[in-house]
Amino acid sequence: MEIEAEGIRKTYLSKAGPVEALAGVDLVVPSGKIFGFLGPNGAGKTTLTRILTTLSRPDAGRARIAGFDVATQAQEVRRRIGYVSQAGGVDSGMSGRANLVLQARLQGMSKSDTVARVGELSDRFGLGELLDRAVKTLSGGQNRRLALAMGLVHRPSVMFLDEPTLGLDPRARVDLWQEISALRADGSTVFLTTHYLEEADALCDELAIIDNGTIVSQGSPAALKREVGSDDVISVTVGAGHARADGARTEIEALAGANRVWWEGDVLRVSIADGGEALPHLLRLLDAAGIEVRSVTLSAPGLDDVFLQKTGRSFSAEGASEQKPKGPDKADEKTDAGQLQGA
Amino acid sequence: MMRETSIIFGYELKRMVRNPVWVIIGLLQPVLWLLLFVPLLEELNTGAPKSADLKTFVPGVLTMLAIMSTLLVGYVFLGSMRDGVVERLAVTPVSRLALALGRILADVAGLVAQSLLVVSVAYLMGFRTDPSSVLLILALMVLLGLSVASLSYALALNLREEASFSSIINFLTLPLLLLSGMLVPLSFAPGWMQAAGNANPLHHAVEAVRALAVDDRGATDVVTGFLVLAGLTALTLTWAARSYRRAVP
Ligand SMILES: Nc1ncnc2c1ncn2[C@@H]1O[C@H](COP(=O)(O)OP(=O)(O)O)[C@@H](O)[C@H]1O
Ligand SMILES: [Mg+2]
Repeated sequence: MEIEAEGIRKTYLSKAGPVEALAGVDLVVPSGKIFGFLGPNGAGKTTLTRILTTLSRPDAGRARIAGFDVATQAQEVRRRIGYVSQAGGVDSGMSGRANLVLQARLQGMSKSDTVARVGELSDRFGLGELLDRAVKTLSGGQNRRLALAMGLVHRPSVMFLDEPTLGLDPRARVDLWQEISALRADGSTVFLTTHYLEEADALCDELAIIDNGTIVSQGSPAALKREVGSDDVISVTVGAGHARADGARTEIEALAGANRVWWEGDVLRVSIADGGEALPHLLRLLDAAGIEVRSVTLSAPGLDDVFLQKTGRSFSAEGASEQKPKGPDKADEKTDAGQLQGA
Repeated sequence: MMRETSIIFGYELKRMVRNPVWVIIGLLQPVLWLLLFVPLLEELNTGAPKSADLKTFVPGVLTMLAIMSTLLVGYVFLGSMRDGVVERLAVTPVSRLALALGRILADVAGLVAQSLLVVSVAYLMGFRTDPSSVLLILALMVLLGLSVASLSYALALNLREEASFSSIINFLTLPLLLLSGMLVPLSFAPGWMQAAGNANPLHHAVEAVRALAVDDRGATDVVTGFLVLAGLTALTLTWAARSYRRAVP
């Protein structure tokens, strides 16, 4: 086991009173996997990452990295881990090359090894002439690639990435996902935190979902989604004819695989086993009942459904605080969403 | 430890020299003070020989320089903290002492370079002092730089935020400078102000440098200056080290 943690607790004392950032976290991360730590802002992801990387002491509990205790064998741990913080950690007062060289020298490399390693990393991350530019002029994605290269200088066996794609545009995000997947191919273990559902889904082999300092669920993305049930949800926004819609209700409920039919305002929702197959039948039924269909969304179960079921709240980047019903505005977070206009 | 300290030291020096603000403010400004103030003093202080003016004024410029050059190191450090640089270095197996020492020694080395430049320009303007006095002056500069830099780091580490750091520094700077007698000697000041000056370590630094500038190396002012600054350095370094250990386990 590459990372093991038991009973980790951490409470911060702030002016507004104590904040319990971690309320007893247990974790086991096998080696050679990309392990995702998914949770909304303020859930405790950075707090745990800082404890595992020896930057902060837990109030209670123990953690080991590659068998070494983070509190009592910090030096051994530091030799084996790489860390890219949420802020990135690139010194903007220096060139990328100077940043990389310092990192390599501090990891104990000789001058000639350093030159060779900087060359290797520059090729691997396509840094090239970017290395001699002022760091301030790099794009968000370029800065993150440099930060990742810096974390990898000493070939760590475990890499910690705290929100590695925070604030990147979609293109740069996908590029970075490829770099992170390549780490796994090298045999490294990756521990990353994220509050992007699609990132957790697309990139991670194994996930822990954290909310308010507690892990609410753990497993592979597919297993987590299976656990909450395999229904798709069809959402139909109707125009005129809302009042008459209930006439079609019995017929809709009779569709093959339909489990639940309910209204949210002028949106009709149908929870159904195979949404794609049922969609044409549903539209025909609505048409026959004289109901005007404005738009249709089909969503497969996603990690937000897992979060909703485990916490009773919907997942949102703003701290998962408000009760938000499933709605078409979240369709882009689903794995399989399609939209049809009119009918 | 030595290797790590010197790597950090070299990196920080390079960072300083690369920064155009440091080169312009740090090197040109003290020279400008000399070039602009000294002719003014000559106009005011009719009669006195030029080198006597310089011997009052150059020590003031040097002490001022020691403070201005190191007072804001904490501000730069807060920027590094925000960018995650401090955390990144703390996750390497490098000794914490080397991380801190390399950085503060670079600050002091920068100050020594600035002081040497000021002394050289002053020499060209007619400032004459025995080399052994210059060495002692530089030693005082090092102690003063260490204390002010430590104070700045300690404030930064405890406040953790640029805005409050700046307001505390702004609040402290003017009274400390005025009560040091750096620009206007305190012998012109009313009694209460002289008393306040005696409580201000900077005042003793200025007096010691002034005594050395006239080659009075055995003066009590020199002994007092060294003792006060050594005490101040010990205090502020301890405070900074404690604050650093709390921030970077
Ligand atoms: N230094 C600190 N002082 C006080 N509270 C803190 C501190 N750091 C984090 N917190 C609080 O702890 C909780 C968890 O924070 P964090 O681990 O940064 O969450 P995440 O990384 O998941 O967004 C939040 O409520 C946050 O406000
Ligand atoms: Mg965070």
